[in-house]
Amino acid sequence: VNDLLHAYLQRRCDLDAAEAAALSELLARDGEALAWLRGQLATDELLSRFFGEERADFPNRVRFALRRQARSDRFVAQVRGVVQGRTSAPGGLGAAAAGSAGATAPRSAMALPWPGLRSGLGRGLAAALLLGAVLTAVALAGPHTRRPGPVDLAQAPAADQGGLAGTLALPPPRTGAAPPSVPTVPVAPLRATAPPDLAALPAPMRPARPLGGPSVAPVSAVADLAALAPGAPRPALAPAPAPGAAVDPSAHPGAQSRSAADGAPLVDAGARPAAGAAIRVGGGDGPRTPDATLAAAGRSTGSVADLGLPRPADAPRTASGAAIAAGSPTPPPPSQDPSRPSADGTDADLLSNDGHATLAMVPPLADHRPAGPRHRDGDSRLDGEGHVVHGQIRSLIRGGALVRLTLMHGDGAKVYEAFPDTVVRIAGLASPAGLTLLRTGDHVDLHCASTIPSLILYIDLHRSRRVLDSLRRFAEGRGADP
Amino acid sequence: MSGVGAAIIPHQMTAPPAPDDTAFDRILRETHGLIRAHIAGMGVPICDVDDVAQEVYLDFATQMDRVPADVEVLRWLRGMARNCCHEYFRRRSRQSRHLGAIADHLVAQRAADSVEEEEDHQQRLDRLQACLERLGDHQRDLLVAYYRDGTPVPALAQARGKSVGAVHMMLSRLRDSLRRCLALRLPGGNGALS
Repeated sequence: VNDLLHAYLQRRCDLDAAEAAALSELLARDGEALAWLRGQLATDELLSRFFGEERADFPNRVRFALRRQARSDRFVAQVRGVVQGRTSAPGGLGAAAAGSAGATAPRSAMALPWPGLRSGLGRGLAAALLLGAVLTAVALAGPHTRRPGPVDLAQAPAADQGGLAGTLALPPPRTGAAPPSVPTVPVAPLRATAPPDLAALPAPMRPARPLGGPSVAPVSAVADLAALAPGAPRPALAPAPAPGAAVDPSAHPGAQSRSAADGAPLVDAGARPAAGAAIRVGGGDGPRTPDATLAAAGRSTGSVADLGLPRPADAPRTASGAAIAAGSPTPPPPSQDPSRPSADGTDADLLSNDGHATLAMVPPLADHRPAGPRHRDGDSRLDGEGHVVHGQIRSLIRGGALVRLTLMHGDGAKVYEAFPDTVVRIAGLASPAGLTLLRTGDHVDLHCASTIPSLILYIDLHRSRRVLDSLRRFAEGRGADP
Repeated sequence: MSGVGAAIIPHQMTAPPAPDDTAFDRILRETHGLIRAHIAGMGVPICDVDDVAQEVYLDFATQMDRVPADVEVLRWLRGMARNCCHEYFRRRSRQSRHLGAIADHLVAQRAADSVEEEEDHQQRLDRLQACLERLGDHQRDLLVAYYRDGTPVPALAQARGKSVGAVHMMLSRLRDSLRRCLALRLPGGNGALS
């Protein structure tokens, strides 16, 4: 009896059939066991709510999700419409997908109800299809979706602007006395914001290419679906170029567009970075200890914080001071020489590395937090910065992800304008946009096997710790939880 | 008491009325604690409780006019929560049928304890704080590390030189102790907790 109950408490959704059936029968006939289990669950929930600050302002989370919902629906409908038109055209998405290994799933998969996809492979396939469709659609939707600026959002009614317009609520400070009200931070609607003054933005917030510059070419291939299957072997990848060797951007799907846009060709990721690789973001001010974690994030605009992972002291650094992740078996090619600033003066070189992950946390442009003690632990500090993160995956390469997160906070709308290539929302991890499907266990797994130009994630920081942990794991190359 | 004692601070569980108070906001404020507890009580893992609850309220927001006049909103929401929980299990587990049955058993049991169900959560949190203060430092540290910091059990086990199963058992016993303390309705009434 005890074993069954404890197995349930520990593994819950991962019980095997025999255990689940036995426990169900047990609870049907043993009131004492049922009462004990119910007490465990109730106390578990009470303790979680007592300690879990991210659960403290659930009403605001729901209100925020409600605001986003309209836009998510509109966005997905728009994408589906574009995809439908595109796939019916010769050489469209269907043709591109057919040319990609394993990418032969029908377009009808887009309409599959997510709950029906039970297997990890099914989720992966659906996610890959959706992600590929979203990226292709955005790339094809017209210049307004590829040009920096809030054009797409500006066409939407104000109510449709979701979380970008409205109010971001900050969680109450963890002090003894509860605040009289949940403080809120007004966020200007995107369409009302002027184009950002790029010179005034810290380097990590500048767009990877000049505003109005060349647009991103359509993604030439959708995901390598085989790589999305849980436990599937990593696809064979092109070896990293030797030092000094020229990189052929055309050798990598999607790399050409990035190459044209940024002037720096991408390199296939090769193997995932070794576990323990530093996840480091640009704009540093010298080596930091892992303990520094996010402490710097709240101090100086434009500086970037470690996320608490070890980084070798001798890691090469960019002109902006960012460290290239450790574990690199091969020095970066000349075009990605970390000692050389990128062509457009941004830290794009950081984000197009050779398979190493860069997880960036950019501090808010302004500190709107209410006065009072900050959170005690590093990660939870993120909650205090606002509830929405702009995360940008500047380049997803097979086997590696380059993740960039920018806090959406007050003037942070400008940050969005700088990176409008593709928008995929995670609305409380229940977004119809599909990234929810990449979730396994308690974490979000960004298993994207294709190269895409850019991806902006809207991540609800109510779940920041898990989401960021997951991103970090992925960036480290460990992927999903065991 | 160690430094973690300072961490034992109850959260504000219910947001104050917003200036743009609507019927939905009012219902949300008044019911979210109970609904989230209801969902957790059906066996949804804690890390997903708020996700499921969010789905409940998002659905509810679009269907408020469907609530029959003679049905209490909280009861309606619980029904929606039950459906969402079953959907969650169907989505997340191959054993969804059994997990759904287990959830229904738990819900039936919960209905029998309606008094406790309706108890104000803030009061329960206040009493929980008193109970937590009765714990030893090591026990409290374990709870803080697990519930506040989100440290995975394997990491806790490694740090403490114990097996994963042993840490799970410690947590389970701590929950039992706190449960007994809470049930006494007298903070600290049972003396030092084991």
